[in-house]
Amino acid sequence: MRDAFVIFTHDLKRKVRNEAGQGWVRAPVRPSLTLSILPGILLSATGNRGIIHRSFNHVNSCMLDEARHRPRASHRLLKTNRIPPAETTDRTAHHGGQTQVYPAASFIQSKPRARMEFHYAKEMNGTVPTVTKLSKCIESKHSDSCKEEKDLKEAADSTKLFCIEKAYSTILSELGENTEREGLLRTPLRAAKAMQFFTKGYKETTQAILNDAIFNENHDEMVIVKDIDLFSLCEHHLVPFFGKAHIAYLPNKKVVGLSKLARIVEIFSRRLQVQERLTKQIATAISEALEPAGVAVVIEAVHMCMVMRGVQKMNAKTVTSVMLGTFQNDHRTREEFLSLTLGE
Amino acid sequence: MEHSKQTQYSSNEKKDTGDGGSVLNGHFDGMVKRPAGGTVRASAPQPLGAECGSHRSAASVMESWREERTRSVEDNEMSLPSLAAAYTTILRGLGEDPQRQGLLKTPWRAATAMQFFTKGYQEKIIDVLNDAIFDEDHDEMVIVKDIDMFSMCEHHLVPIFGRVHIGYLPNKRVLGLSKLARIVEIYSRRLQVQERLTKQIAVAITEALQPTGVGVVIEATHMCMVMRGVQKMNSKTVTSTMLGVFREDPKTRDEFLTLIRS
Repeated sequence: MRDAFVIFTHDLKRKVRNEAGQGWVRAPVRPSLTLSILPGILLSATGNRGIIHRSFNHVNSCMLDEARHRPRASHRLLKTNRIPPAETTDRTAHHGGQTQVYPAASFIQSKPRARMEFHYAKEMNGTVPTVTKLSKCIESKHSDSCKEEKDLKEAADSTKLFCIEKAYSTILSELGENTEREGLLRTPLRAAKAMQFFTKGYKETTQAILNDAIFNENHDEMVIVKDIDLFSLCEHHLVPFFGKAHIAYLPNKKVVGLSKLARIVEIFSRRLQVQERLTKQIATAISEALEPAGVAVVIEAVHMCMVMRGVQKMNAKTVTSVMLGTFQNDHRTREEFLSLTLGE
Repeated sequence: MEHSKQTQYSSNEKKDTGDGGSVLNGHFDGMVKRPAGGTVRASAPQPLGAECGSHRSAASVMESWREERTRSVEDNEMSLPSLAAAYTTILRGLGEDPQRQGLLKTPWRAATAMQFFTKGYQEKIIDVLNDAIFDEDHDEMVIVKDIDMFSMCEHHLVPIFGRVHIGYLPNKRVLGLSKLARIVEIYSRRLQVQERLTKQIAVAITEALQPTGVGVVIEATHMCMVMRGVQKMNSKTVTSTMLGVFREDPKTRDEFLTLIRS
């Protein structure tokens, strides 16, 4: 299977290089004989039959589909002239992006914690680097060169959707359902789109939504936005968890539009998440964007993976919190926040 | 009822031996009936049409309580690798990295979780009910309410959860109370539509006990409506099925509805 990959990407490379002067061109699919034979040879060589054979075929074709349309990551990064946003690029860029895009945080005590965050950077749930290209496209809406890339991106998106759809058809039939019955006819497509909606946070960046809504105000009292409904997906079982987020910050000459706090919650929650990481990501994003005197985030959520299956405890809630800056150092500030949000 | 149970047993055995030979679970070979909403095929499989599907679904709802398992524990183990492979494809398609530490075993966990959410396909009503039907000279309403219910939306594969309230007027035969909750479990742990779920529960109780009347009310929250799409957080869907005297006599119905509300 690895050889098949290499052959394919080599084909892609050759085509793109030939027409490099004309910009990005979608490399036509070459009906390669070796490709069709190789998987068969590999599978027969390993003696896989039956279910495993079926599943690998399925996975193979989808992975090859992706390889066909996958944009060349390195080229894309070179083409952009912006520093990729911190939370969305690959791990190596994360460190650099953190210190270059935003000046050093104003509170020293939180730095060790922030560094601890970077230490676990390889655990950041982030995705393919095409995000940077997309955000550039969003900003330069009227540029023509962007249109081709958008088309390419849409093609890649629809291929991905098709792959997810096929996967869901397999799931339905393996679960023992009749995929031809009326209620299930278009379920794979609907489920694939739903899943894409539930993970749309991967494509969004805090920079894109926050840039316009930071205002200079001479206000240094606590600002709390509470009871923000939150829906996310457990990354271990792919089952929803939902609850409320309460956010507070002590502004330091800069305040942010209130709905932007809720939008930050949306960006990070619409991903495959672990509640602890989600809380930390929200707090870090706010502290980087606003450089406030302190940030506090509390999330209380119900995990369907615990309610619907496994230990099946209906009324259990999970509460996580992150306190940065003054909220961490001064217990009275913290108490004021907790009594205002959770006290009632 | 005894007679029909006997015949059910013998036909069960026939079907069991038949099932042992068939390879594909869930693709019926003429004998096995599907959960309501699917088609009931004769020995010669017929093409699906919307019109014959709907008329058959009505018939199969009424008979669904006698249906066979479409899945077994062995089938579960055999389908796990392909389910896990499908979930790996989904993870990759969403743009995540299936090799990162938090996602390494996620395909297997998600596959097992999904099998648990559809374990109703492995269970038979007859197994659950056989021992717990008692002859009691009781003809007042029996209500079991606030039964937590968790199901999966068959259109989006996203959870539905809520509460079920069941009431029935016995006709010389009563059912063990937890068996009502078990009936709810069997039918809810499937890919469902809330209307069909309500009807299936009501019909199962009717067929098993032949009571004077049955009422089932389900109020549920649909994550497909809360987490996506129209995104209305506080909306609930309420469906009900009233059979027998619950349907005909408004006073009985009122009593039932008042008691479940209080």
